Amino acid sequence: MLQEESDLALIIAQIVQKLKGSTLYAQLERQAWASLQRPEIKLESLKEDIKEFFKISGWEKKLQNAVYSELNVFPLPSHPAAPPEHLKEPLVYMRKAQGSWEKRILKSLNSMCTELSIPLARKRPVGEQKELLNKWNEMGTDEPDLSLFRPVYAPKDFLEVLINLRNPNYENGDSHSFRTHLGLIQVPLKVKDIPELKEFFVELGLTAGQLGIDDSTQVPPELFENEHVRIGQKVLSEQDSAAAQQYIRQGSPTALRAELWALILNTSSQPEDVKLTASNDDYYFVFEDYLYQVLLCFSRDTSVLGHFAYNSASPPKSYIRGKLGLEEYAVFYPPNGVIPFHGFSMYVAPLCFLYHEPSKLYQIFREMYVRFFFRLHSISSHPSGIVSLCLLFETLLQTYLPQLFYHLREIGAQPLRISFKWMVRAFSGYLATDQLLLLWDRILGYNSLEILAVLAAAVFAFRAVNLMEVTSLAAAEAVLADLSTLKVMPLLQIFLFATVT
Amino acid sequence: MSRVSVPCHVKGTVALQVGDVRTSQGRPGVLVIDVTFPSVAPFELQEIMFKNYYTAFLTIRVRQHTSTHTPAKWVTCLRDYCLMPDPHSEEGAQEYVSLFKHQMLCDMGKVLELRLILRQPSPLWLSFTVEELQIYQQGPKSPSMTFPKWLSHPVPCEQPAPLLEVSPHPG
Repeated sequence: MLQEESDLALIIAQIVQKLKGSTLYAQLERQAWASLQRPEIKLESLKEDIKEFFKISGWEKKLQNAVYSELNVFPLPSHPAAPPEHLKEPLVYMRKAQGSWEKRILKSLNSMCTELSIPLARKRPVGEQKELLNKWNEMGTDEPDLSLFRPVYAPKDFLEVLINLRNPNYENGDSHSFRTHLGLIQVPLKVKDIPELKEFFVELGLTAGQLGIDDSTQVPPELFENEHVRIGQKVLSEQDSAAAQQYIRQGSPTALRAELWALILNTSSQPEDVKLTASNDDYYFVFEDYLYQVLLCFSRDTSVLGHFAYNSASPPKSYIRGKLGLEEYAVFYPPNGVIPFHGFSMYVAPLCFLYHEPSKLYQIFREMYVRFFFRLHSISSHPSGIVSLCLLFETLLQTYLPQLFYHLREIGAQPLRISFKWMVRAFSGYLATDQLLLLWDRILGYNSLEILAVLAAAVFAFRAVNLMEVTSLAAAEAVLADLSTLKVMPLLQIFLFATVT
Repeated sequence: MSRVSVPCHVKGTVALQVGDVRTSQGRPGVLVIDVTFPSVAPFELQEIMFKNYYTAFLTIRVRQHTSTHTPAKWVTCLRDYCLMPDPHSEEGAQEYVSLFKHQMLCDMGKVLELRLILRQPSPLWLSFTVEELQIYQQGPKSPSMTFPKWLSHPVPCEQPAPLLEVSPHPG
């Protein structure tokens, strides 16, 4: 059909445009020039021969991976008349809400700085620079006095904003209609129900093997684990991003995980010019140091600004003194445009178990952030955005555990108040690390954060009996305080595929 | 192909409702928008573009110029085109939409007037409409550009395969 063809042409043109500016393009060009020396490249069939050469040498695969990565990360080109803010977020009232939230954070940040007499952005004096370089590897143990600094905001502040989100064109009256939202989220976004989730997460079904279930000690490895590891090694040797993403839906073997994630996120194998002095201290490293290093570099990495094209949030801008409104004097603060909140470092911490080389660790974290984590703290209508995740969680609970939902609501313990902090941190810090990594495998495999909402509902389902007996929010919190013993894959499988509805 | 915007006059929306609009409960689920082209001769419609605002289904009727003396009749050219897959949720509610002549059920050669019939069956929305309506006709064809041959893909010079000597079958 005419429309589909022109849509496809538009997508191709957009991807070509994006890739033209990348290092891969320069490398391919160099390779093509160099290949002219080769005997098998003939002038008469130049184009075909070079294409053949790319296929054999693995460069075509690299290009395929780059294209696949673009398709996964960037939204499809929208209607030509749509302005750029429409691409960030199509619903006007959500854009407005995000704008107000950003203003509030910025005001809080500015007033904190005024209070403590600290300028937002200044160049480090030379003496301090030297000291920083010397102390680079020990930053965790020798931190400046941060006691006066408050976190800019905490997840529960953000939850209050989401609870108050309203569509002005929606029937928000007091009369209870068939669509009254009994939970905290009051916006009618489309979320999947269990039949749709079963289809979406089909590889997690009862008939497919899973790491996290079928690799436990009681199960003989010949049944699933050995073959799965073998396939994983093959996927890595082929260096195919799309295959890796499909493979990891059933979990990644621990030994292959670091490489698989790097392949799926399409991070380059060259160490980047990140100003991390990689003194590979063999006998001692402290995660704290890595966290500081990564987060400090992240806050200064201006390439992160690119993700604001599809993020509903916008980087806070301030102007050089006296030049208010002049774009040439606009400065993004922080340079990467992302204002961290209390607990932000929890996005990085689990990655420290996988990547010991600081440059690699940084690249993986940055990719994970601009693909997934940014959606957890900006207001948008995207199916993986935090608003949709909250609504999905509440809807699943209401539909499949109505008695529990009603009981918790009656005692003043709205379930979202407890599960929000899990989802905002993608469960980091709440689950045991090996379980968390199995969960994040699936986030990568399905290119979606919806699994966080499903797991949150599954946790409530698992502890339903205890929760039915509590009579206060504090008691409900206590029942759900410790998730460190939970096994995520059995919980997900039972909730999605083995619960009688 | 280029397109040219056609100046149009969008009449106010009329709600279709049974009974008295003021006294009856509930909100109308059907709206009609008439679009006329006062200063333009009957033209060939190329594209209709608009920004949706919570309309779930769109039907378009067209009245075309006829050469004979029969009065022009209204014909449905688009029937129940779905703009929101789930009328109760936000999906598609504020999207930009383009409809092209090849999607229409009839030929759009000599358009005089258009009538847009908007439907929103869900009672949850306070109002619905379409905004930024633009009608386009085919623009003048751009002069064909001749590209140098080497810019597009160079076709390798194919040597005709040497004819094999086929020995005639015996008998």
